[in-house]
Amino acid sequence: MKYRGLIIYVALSILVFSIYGFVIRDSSSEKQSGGESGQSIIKNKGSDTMVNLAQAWAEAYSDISDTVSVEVSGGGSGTGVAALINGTVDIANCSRQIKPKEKDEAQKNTGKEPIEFIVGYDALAVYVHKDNPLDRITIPELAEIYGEEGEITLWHQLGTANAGCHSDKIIRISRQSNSGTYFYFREALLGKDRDFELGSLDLHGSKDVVEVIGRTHCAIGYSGMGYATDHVKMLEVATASDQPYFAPNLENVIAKTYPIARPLYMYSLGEPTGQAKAYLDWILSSEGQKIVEELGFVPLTRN
Amino acid sequence: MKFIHILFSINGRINRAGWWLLNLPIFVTIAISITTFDFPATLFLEHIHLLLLLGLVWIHIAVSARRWHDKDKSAWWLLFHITPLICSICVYAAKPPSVWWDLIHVITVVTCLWTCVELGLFKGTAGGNQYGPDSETSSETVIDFYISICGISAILFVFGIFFFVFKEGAGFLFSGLNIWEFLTSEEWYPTSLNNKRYGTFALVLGTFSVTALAMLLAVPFGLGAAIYVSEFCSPKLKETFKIVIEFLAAIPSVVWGFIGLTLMNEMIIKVFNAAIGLTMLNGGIMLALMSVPIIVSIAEDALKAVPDSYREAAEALGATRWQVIYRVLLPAAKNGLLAAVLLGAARSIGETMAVLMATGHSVNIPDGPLSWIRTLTATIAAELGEVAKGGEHYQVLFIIGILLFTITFIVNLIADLVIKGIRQS
Repeated sequence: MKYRGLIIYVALSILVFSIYGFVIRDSSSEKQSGGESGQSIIKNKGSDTMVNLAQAWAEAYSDISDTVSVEVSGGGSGTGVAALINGTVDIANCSRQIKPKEKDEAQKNTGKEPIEFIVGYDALAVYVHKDNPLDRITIPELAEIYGEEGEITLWHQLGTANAGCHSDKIIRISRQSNSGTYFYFREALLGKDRDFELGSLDLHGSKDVVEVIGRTHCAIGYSGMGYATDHVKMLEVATASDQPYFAPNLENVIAKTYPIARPLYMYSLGEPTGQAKAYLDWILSSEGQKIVEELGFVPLTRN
Repeated sequence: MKFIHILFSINGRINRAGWWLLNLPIFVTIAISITTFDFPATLFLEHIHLLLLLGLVWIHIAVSARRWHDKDKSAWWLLFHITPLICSICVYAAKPPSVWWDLIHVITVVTCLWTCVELGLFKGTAGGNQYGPDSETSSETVIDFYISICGISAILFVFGIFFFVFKEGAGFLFSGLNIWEFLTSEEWYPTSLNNKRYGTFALVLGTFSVTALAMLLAVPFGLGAAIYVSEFCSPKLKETFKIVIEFLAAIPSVVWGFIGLTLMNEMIIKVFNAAIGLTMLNGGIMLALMSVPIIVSIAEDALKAVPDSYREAAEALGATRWQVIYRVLLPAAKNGLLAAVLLGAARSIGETMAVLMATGHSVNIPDGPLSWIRTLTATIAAELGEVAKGGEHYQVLFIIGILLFTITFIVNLIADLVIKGIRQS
């Protein structure tokens, strides 16, 4: 009699076990079949600068289209192009233009030519306080301000008297060291061999940079050109002192005369078809371009 | 042994409270895991999940069997519990729009309700019966069980977190990282293209200096306020005061950071004629404002805990009010006051958002309260978001986490030793 309850328990648990097993089998098999038939996936890989943008596009697109999901991964422009050459992605993100050699390789490997789409621009403006008399600056000057062991630390070395700044010391405003903006600005100024001098104020976000510069007479900083406010001034930039200066505006960015700007590319293998084509068309539409602007990049056209 | 019996045995009796206490969490868990969670991806996890649910079903059956015993009924009555199961098989067999399908549902609901009412609401037989003695106090063991679980889980969580942080950072910590350079170099270049340097000296110095400054500001104010509230205040004012201080503690740290970034920034520029107000002083003031409420409320508790007879004895001997506080109360409440200060310091060391926004976030060896600095916590917060998972930089950020762990551990250890020393003397 003592084991009566135990026998009941064993019987019950076998029952529960088997029924639960049925439920699992059924639901999981349903799920799998649903995944294979209904959804199609666009694989999107490449530039780390663009990964947030690509992610935002993918998320917004999933609200519009139920049947397409876009898988985004970063890793750098190089990995994106490599994946394109191997034919493992549908769309590669690239913050530089594809090299002719890479184009040939893709042609050889897959039989299709990479097709280029410019999906937006990444332009950085150099900001100072609105009362700062400085109007223009050259890339070598910026390199000496920001670069490791740079020679320019005071405002009068730039040839202006910054009256609002009592100490005359240049306060460098920068970004946290693994943001795409930081990487691009460093590369544009210093190439690949030199680092920034430590001791800059590494702010967390494009907006904060402009906000702080607007309150600080001694400050210089860089941020997306969409973030300008009434309290700051954007400097005209030249590649060297004997070269013409260009203001950071849409015309100069598109004409490729403004030096701290670059187009952002997407590449597809051959003329895009079907879902990939629909996705790229949507990115180039005003709706997709609105997201470009929201993330601090420059859209193809002003809306 | 006691707990294993209370969970898994079908012998003996249990009262209504015990039945509810054990079954409610089970019902909720099963309901959530069946309705909302996706079934775990790997086969291994699926088995674990299944085993866990099976364990819960066992507990349900064992407890229900004891509940039937409590009512002097045999455990065979448990058979009613499988009617829903049988019914669900029938549901699979019957096609939805049929009389049978409706009937099965009605039977299921009725039996479920009936067993629930029978087991959950009706008392067992008074006094002993053939299955065991009176069950009036049997739910106390269940409560015991839950309290032990809470205690054990606190330890498990601490070790779990430490294990996770250590695991993420361990790979680079033991192979590749130059620990000497990590601790003594001020060069923090985690993303340099060809010369990566991971030196945290400036960051450690930043953390310590801003915490020290914060404590310098917060401790006199905090202890002073605590003495005022506990010794000088009228009871009515005391209540208001405590509510206001608790309100100060409820302000989120990002709000403090924002105040530092805008308001305090302007003020420091104006008052000190500084080039920029995002400085160690700014962060220190923000941290002081954040840790004062903690210091006040704990120190006030410590002072309140000093028996009134101490005060009365001192005053009877002719001591002035100040002498009572200085000679009697403060020495008597020493442990509590120290705990208050250390908890305030711990809050400052661990604070992230406010220092990220207010201190300038600049890798810099501080040379005064107006220099801008960067702390360990802010570095993790700013950089972890955009780092490649598993990479060197990612691991270094976790090693900084280990460093922070070690620092707080040492602070707590010192506090323990100091308090022990005070107790012994």
